[in-house]
Amino acid sequence: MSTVRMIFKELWHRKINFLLGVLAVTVAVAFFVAFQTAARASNRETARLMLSMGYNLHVIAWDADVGDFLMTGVANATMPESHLETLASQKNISYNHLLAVLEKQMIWRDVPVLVTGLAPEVCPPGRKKPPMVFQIEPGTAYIGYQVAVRLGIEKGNKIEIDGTQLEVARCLAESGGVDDMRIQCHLADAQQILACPGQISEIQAVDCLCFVEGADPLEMLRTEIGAILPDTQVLQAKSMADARARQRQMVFKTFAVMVPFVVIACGVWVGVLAIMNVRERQTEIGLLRALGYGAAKIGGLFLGKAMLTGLLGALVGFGAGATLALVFGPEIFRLTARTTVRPEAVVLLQSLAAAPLFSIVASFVPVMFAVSYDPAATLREE
Amino acid sequence: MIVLGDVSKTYRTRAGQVKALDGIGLEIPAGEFVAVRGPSGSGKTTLLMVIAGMLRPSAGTVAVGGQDVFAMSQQERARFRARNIGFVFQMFHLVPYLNIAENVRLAARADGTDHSSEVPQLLDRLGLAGRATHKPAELSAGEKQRTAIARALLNRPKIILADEPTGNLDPENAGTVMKHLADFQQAGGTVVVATHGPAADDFATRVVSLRDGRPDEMK
Repeated sequence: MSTVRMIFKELWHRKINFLLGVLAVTVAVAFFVAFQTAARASNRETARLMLSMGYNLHVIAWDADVGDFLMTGVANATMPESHLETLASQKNISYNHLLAVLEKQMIWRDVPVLVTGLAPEVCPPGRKKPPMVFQIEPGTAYIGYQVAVRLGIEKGNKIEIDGTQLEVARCLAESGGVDDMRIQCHLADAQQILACPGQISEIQAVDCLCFVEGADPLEMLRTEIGAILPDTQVLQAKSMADARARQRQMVFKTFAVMVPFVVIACGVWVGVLAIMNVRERQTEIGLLRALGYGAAKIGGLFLGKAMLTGLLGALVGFGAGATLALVFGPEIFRLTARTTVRPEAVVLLQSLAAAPLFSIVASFVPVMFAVSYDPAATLREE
Repeated sequence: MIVLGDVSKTYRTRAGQVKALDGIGLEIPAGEFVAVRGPSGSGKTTLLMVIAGMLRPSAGTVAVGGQDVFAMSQQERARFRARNIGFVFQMFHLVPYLNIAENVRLAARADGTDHSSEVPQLLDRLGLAGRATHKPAELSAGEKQRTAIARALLNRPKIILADEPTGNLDPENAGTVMKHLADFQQAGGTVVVATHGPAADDFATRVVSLRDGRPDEMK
């Protein structure tokens, strides 16, 4: 009789033991799959939430006054618009979500306003992400709340600023900040209004150095960007960047700790079941040894069973874990669940490869102990 | 021929050392039916395990068919056992998830030579023809022991070692089992039966009494 047939006959005979083994692997895999899926979703959700805090990196012209910029939020010198393309074309860099801005305070219809021109956000090669801010079409304007209220401007109105015609695409809701005093338009329109063709006052970005332990992210960014654009200064909204980094690190570490813990706990469970199975079958092992079966053949019976247990547990566990993630994910990750919580083929492959291995490893010690156990001791029944 | 040269076996227990065999010298020529008698704990089973090469003696030598059993590697010993020695146990030790025919066939696989085609004949000879597809749990004690004998006989071994083979059987079944072992001996095989009672005396060509690990010829 082949080893495989013996394994299946034994499985059928000891269904409960087998099902408990499968259950242990199922739980381990389900937790692994749910955690993996949730961890990925959580990272994306956290990234999205952190992005809503805004850009934390500012690149301004070398001759701009930093003190003035920090007090007003507006750089008092400009630099070439081509700097954006230069930064955006770099590979292996530590920033993303590049936004070229030209802005300047002016008096318009006797009201102080901040004219802000925004180019469409760009990403470096291979790091394409959805834009963090709205994209403004040329010839249109978004009017801040206070400006709209004071001047009675409504959506659809045509306005003219220093000879440039714009159509009001939106009047923004009250923000309680400087945005309420802005007139936001396309970068090209702002360059025309402010008579700065081909110029920008700032490049805003988000740094990606969340997981660099023990390094000074600002120093790294200054070195990196300074090498690309030597005629610029780099400033970082440190508290915002730190909060973002800490939050992402916390999520990363939470899952990094929990997944191994669950996997080890289930490994111990599988191991205990293997020990119970081996103890229950000690006489059988002794008999097979007495009949002349070698350790490899006997070990194959047990490890083959462990492999089957792992395979079945992986399939059921993946289904259970993915279902858990799909059911509870949208409740937890409200912003990104629709696009990010989904069963992932790579996790299925990982489960199918790891669970049988995991099951074999957990069973290995008791099985090896069993096959090396003195058969005479189990068969001696005087 | 089985030759034991001054074989001793000492077990270490929590209570101290227990000497199961104490300097046994024994020669069992081929074709003999030897009954090893003695009370529980006298070392009968240990003696069988040592002859089978399953238990290494603390001292002394064991030769079976002219070969020093413990000079072989563990793998060689397992192969040697599969080809030359059949085992019958008091508790039958049938694999519960295999049917009777499959239990008997287990021995064929261990041997490496395929005698499995002889299983139906063997079962028929032992009165188990109608039980081939039954599981051990569905058999009587006598049927289980006859299955164990069929398993022991399948590889046409030279020696059968039987440890209290009638310990769990009624007198009628005990007699049947002993008769099958005697048939094997009469066909040229060697039988060593460990028993605490006189069940094997009528069939044995020689009876060895074992007390405190020492032999004492009785017949």
